[in-house]
Amino acid sequence: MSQHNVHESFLLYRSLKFMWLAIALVFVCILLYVLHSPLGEPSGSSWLGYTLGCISATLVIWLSWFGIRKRQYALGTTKLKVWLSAHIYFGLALVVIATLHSGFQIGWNIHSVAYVLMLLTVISGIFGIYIYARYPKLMTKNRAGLSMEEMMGQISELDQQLLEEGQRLPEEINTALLKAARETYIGGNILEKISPKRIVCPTTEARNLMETKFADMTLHDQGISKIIALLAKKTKLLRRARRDVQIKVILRIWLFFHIPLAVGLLGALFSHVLAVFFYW
Amino acid sequence: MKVIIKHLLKKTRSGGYAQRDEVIEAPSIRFGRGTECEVHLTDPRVLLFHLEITERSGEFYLTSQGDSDFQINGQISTKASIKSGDKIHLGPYDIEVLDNKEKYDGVVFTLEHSRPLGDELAALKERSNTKFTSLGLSVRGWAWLLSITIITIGILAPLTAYITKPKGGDPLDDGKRSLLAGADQIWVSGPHSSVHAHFGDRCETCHTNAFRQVINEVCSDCHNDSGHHADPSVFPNASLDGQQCQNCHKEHTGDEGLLITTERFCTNCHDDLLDVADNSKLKNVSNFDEHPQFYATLIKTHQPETFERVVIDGGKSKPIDRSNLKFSHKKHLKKHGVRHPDGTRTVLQCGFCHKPETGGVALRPISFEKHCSNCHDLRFEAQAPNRQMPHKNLSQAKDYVEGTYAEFALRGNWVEPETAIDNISSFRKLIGEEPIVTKEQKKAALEWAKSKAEEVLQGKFGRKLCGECHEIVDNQKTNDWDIAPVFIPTKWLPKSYFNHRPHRDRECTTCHNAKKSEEATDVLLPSVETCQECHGGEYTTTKVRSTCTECHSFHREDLMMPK
Repeated sequence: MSQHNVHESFLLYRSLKFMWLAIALVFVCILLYVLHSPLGEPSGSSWLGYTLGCISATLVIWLSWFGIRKRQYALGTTKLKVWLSAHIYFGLALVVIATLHSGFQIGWNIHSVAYVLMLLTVISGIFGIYIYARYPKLMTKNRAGLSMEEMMGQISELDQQLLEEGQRLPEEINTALLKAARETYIGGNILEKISPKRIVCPTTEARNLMETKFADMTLHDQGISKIIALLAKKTKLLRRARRDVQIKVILRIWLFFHIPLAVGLLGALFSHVLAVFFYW
Repeated sequence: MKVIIKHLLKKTRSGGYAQRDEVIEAPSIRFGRGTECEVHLTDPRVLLFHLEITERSGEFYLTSQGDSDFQINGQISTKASIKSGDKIHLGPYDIEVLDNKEKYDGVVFTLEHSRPLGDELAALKERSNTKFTSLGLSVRGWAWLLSITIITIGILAPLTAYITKPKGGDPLDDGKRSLLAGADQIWVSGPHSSVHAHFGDRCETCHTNAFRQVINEVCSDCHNDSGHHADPSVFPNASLDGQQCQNCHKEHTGDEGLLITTERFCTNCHDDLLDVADNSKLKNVSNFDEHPQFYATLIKTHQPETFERVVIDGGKSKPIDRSNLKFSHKKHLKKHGVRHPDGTRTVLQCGFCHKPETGGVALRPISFEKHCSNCHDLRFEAQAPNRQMPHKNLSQAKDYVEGTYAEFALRGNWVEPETAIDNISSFRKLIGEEPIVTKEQKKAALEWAKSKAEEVLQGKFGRKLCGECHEIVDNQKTNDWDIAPVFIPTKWLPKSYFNHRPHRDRECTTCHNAKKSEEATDVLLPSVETCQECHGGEYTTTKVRSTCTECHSFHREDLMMPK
């Protein structure tokens, strides 16, 4: 199954079965909220408020269970896809149901902390859906069949060739090529991984040097033009490799928000429920 | 096609190579790391399938696969035809095409791994950091950090505050408290109502027991006059016994939830009251547009004091205000004013007598001295023009009048109206000229004063003057007359409250038909229709929205507190 189909299927599983279920749940909740007219202000403490609160809390716990279910590899991948589809749609439904539960009351308190964490968790989840719908394809396209190992191998092989070719050329070129071979790296710190443009790359510097200062020598010296070609090839490989790292980071970084926020939400949810009944 | 590969393995001491020949016959020759390739190259820098040699009409072509390339005679290329003598770089491998076709019957080339994997790859890997496992902390680390922070702020700190705070402190004490004591503020679910905001940061004032709803005793500590809604012995359905205050009074929703003002709360029962209370005499009401007519509560008899409720609908059963006063609003509000005793005219407004009290809710009581005496004086004797009877009660007035004449007798300056000259001399004789006043003289003087007082009080400055405004009653026992006690009600509709202040922009006569009232017995309350001209029910779109609680209170202060 192609990458494209895998992505389609978690959203479109069984003709959007879970989407319709989630919409139905949201619709029923909205209908109840509209029909319900409490004597005071709408709040979490009317019978509907408690009901919506129970539904929301159950959803939060069930959605969190996905983190555990995900690791139960023995249960098979098809079933996990079903879980993911449901996870997404009921996660989105949670936003509406929890908002109704709040009765649109927001303040500086633990209850609103839980609500905001819920929103942030869902937003990071939506970001995750976007990333998983987009980046695996881009990753495959960028790699063009090469693995990181292969890309690095080719780069080091190019370095060998460049140093060999550079030996008989002016010292300035040789120095630049040596620096390019010894100091060029892929990845780097987190900012450089996310935005490879930040990397001050000695290979790019060497290429710029060749293309500006020594460009007019290409007619007379085949070695120079070869070095420029080799550097172009190396730069291209480096760009691919760095883009690969970037995509890998993007594919993972949203989880650094989604999961801690979700776990934080569990803590806040527990605090919220305790607080409500402690100072009843 | 057929190829012969001479693997140049190792340089020997003599400068030659140790070599191994390999003959391959295949439709095309693939070079690569993959095992399916005819020429299997092991260096990791070579792709799984890197290069292919094909034969077309006796010519041999090189094609690199995918994104890869090769160098032929120093030129970087992806496609090329080959001839003998060509030198090809395929990554770290060097290939040279030999001119041995005849001898070997196929393409012959040497293959040398001339740039074996050196330190470069290892060094590049060491310099590079392609893995992404943390963002300062791992995913799990962040999850722990966030949840522990939240549980500390959301549970541990407030719980500690609850446990360590002294119980039963004065909620109004504004002494400094530790920061921890306020840690349970994070549990506050919403803003306090303004009336409870002053002890807002002392949760324990109301939340006395953990995991228990706020108990009624906490509320009744201050609110000890919130009686039953209806007498529970007569209307057991409406009993509030066993109910929690907070069932209806929701705190922590600002000023909105504390009092239920929606008319539904009342009309649930009151729009068909007999359903729930078949012994009730109240009329049904569904909203203010359907409000029943007002019934004024009036004094029916003074002795003993009894009351009656009479409908104010302008019908035959006219309500009568038995105040024992006589007064015509009509006369006092004449367009051209009233005549002052000094001959001028004054145009009176309602506000001349009816002044709002400080809060503006009701009007101050009328006082004779402030509002009437300017025109209506209580002078009783032309020879004593500065003397007025006190408007306190009849016996004081009598004493005052008698005293006035006694003084005349003592001073001897009385002028008898008909026979003035004789009398002056007679009184001067009586008192002023004798050195010692005899008992008889005193007695005669007092008797004279008393008889003069009697004469005044029975005459036009007495009974008649009082009777202008007061009902006069004859006392059977003493055979004397008296002023009937005055009863001015402060409330005619005691089950509701009304605030004049918001209505101050209206003319008084908009609601009170005073200009046509000729008798003090008239009840000048407006009927419900007058109110309904401006006020409608909770959902009216054309009038002022007014729910039951605008005028009525749910709890009755006169009934006992619910248990």
